[in-house]
Amino acid sequence: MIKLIINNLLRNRRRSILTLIGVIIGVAGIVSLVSISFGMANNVSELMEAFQGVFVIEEGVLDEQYSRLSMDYVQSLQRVTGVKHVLPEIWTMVIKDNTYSTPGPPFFLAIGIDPELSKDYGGTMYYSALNGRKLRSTDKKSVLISEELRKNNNLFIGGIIRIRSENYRIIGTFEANTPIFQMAVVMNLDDARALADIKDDYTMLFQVIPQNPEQQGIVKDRINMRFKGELEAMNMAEYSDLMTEMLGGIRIALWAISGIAGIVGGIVVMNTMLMSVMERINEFGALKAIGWKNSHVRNMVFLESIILSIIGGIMGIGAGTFIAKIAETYIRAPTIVTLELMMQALLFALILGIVGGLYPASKAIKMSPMEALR
Amino acid sequence: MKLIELKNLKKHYNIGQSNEIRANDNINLEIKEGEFAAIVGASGSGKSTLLHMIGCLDYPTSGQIIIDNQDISKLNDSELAKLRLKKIGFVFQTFNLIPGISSLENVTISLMPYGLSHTKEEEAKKLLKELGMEKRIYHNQSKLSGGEKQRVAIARALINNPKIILADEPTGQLDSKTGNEIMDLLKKLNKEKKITIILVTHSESIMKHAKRIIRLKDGKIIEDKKK
Repeated sequence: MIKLIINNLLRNRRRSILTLIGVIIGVAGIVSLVSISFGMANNVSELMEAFQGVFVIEEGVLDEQYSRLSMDYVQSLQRVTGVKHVLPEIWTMVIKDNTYSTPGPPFFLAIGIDPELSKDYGGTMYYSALNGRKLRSTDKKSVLISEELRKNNNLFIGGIIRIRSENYRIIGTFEANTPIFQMAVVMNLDDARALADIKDDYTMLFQVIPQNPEQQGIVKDRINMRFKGELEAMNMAEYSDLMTEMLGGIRIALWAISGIAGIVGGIVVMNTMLMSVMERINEFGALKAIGWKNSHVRNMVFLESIILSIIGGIMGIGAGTFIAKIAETYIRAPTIVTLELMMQALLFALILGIVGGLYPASKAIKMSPMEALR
Repeated sequence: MKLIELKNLKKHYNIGQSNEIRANDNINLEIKEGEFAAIVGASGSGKSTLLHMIGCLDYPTSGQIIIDNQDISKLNDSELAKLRLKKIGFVFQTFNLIPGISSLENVTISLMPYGLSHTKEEEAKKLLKELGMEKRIYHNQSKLSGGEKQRVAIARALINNPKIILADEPTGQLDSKTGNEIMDLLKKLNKEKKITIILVTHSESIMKHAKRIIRLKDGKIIEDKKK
């Protein structure tokens, strides 16, 4: 029976291939797009793990990039009960010079820190040096870079890195465990202010480290209460939740986009199966005449549709994984293709086959054998 | 012994409308085991409809069809399929073989959904050999001539040792020499295996092979003549 079904699919190869392409596009779309959303979510969670303490930005801004905070807050935040360190930071993206044509995103993440205020703090990775030395307040146009960045671009400690057409001396490296920090260059606040176009005595955000890590929530509430209308404090779990929620929305949107591709795939399957059924009505009449039951004919058409979709689904998963790998290699998009995602994509293909095959299969049995033979 | 009995059989289309068609009208007919009957008549006389009704491919508007002591009006679609599988073999004018598969697979195709045994496969090979197709057993049907295709179709009709073979214009697509060969084959099956054969034709040269001529006009039997 299976041989007969395969034979039926091979009888009109061009049509079967077109159907397969329809299914492959739908499934590959799901796998590649959703894998990017998984990758993004993973990046966020890794990023959040790298942070400690409470994250303080200007109240009411969309995100930290729009936040501008006076350095006067260092003292006032320091006075909040339970606060150990107040670490001003600036984060800004800088387009890479052509010199660095290595794979990856076309920008560096420049992070400005205050070495004086953080000298007793070594919690977050870029505050300590793996090789070379830590930043000092007196350093100008000097940077710590990630080990990854150093290796990928053949850089070395004591050497020069070009940022926005200016030379920065590499004084040390740090171990970065997330893709975002792997492209980071860490510098003094003054240098970062120049790159981010932030006025003197201003910063973008504060990382507030509590004396007791378990009292993060209390410290956060105190800051929000005392600086109501000025500052917004979030602990990393909240920020992570916010980002995860946002990414969840993105993932739904990506599924919806893929779903449209899937619906198109389903229509292609249905159209093909319907054409195939209409062409073979006479054949079905003959099969019924020689003893096939309606259910035999229906199952055969249905199985043809399902087999086509499963083959398309498997090929689509392969194509989607390949696209995800290309995206990861060439545009450094984070992607994760999980077994769960593969199973979901295969299920999706199966649903396409079922939905696409139902109507043609019912059409195949509706006609009486006599009508079909005519 | 009566094998087929039709009582007051009617098959009407578009009932109650101005374009009502009486494809078969009040047909009473008995066919005994081992008969070789030809249903003849002009195009549109209702002969194919009658053959299809005998073959349990359609329900009558009214009347009774009894095949091998079984009233088929009491059977559902699934039971009718089983009856066709076990008791009736069909031979069509256009052969209706399945493209892309071998002669052997075409012969055994009726059994595929029910589970095909090795014994039946061997029987199918034997049948094809008996019908002069020993060199074409594994050939794709697209590589066969019209006469060879019809031999495969006859083997397919015989695979379940049916009591009845219904042939709808079986030589319609064949040249006269091949047509006569096919008719000789059907005659041989009737004579040697005692299979009841009912064929539909409008060809005078084909109907002369039959031992009984049932002539239809406007859906009614106008002549029933035994040789």
